[in-house]
Amino acid sequence: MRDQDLEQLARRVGERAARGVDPDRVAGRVAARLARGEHVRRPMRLGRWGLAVAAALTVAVLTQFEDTTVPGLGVAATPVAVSELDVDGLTEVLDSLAFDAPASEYVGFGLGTMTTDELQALLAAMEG
Amino acid sequence: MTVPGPAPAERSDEDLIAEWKATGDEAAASALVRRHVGPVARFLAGAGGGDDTEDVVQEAFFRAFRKIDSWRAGASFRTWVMTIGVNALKDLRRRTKRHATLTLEDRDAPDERRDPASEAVANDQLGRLGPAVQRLPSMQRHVFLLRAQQELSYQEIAVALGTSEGAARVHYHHAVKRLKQAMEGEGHA
Repeated sequence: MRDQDLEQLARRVGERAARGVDPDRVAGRVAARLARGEHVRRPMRLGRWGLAVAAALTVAVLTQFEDTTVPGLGVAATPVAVSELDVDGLTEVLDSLAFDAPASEYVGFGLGTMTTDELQALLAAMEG
Repeated sequence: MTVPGPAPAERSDEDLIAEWKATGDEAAASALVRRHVGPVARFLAGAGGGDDTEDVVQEAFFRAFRKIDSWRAGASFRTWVMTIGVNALKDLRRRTKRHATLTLEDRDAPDERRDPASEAVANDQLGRLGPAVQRLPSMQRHVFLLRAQQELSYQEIAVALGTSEGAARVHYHHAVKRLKQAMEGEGHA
């Protein structure tokens, strides 16, 4: 499949579900909630201890990949040289690759070289 | 005698937002919802809204108006609502502990420009692409949809998702690679 075929198809993703959304009904409901002075309700998120446990687990998992490097990964493999990305960019890319990606997809940097701030940024990104 | 101003539908997003901020006029908010609801709904449906798309869209707009002070003039209101919708969708899934029903719903969304045979093939592919998009890691999924479905530039995507242009390009590259693998793999199954 060519990239442009995929992109053409992607323009139609969600079309059917979106067609079932009634603009007037949504506008009316939003206006009514605003008029009532309703507040935004959010589910409880991970607390301090939950985050600490998640951070410990994540660091434990990430250290498995500490020395993983990919010699050939560069401009030829991606449209952007990974070396051009800053720490935040690299962190996000790592996050996006998730753990089910083959090892060869991991970008060439050692997590052991990251500072506490960098690891925290990574964890924050993973928290979503 | 006062001359009536332009109808809400003819006013810019920034005007309508300013009016909502200044007066809390729900007509201004409603006009903004009607203007952007289609693309926002398509994006959130593609991001995993499924049968809950309308609820998520409604929540996204509601939250947007509640936190309108954090919208930066000059930024795209539509894209901003989409990113709020992503969080609303996450919250909904946390609350209900269920994932979107991955139906074959997009298969029968006809495209009148195609002949019936190629339309059938496209519908079959679309029925596989939707679930594959939803299996992507979240950043890849959102970058892919903003780029391929909404046709935003990498710069706009970077601003919307709080990332860099370079990272957005890499996310997109990996998303396309994974989707092609998924489509080709399933096609041969």
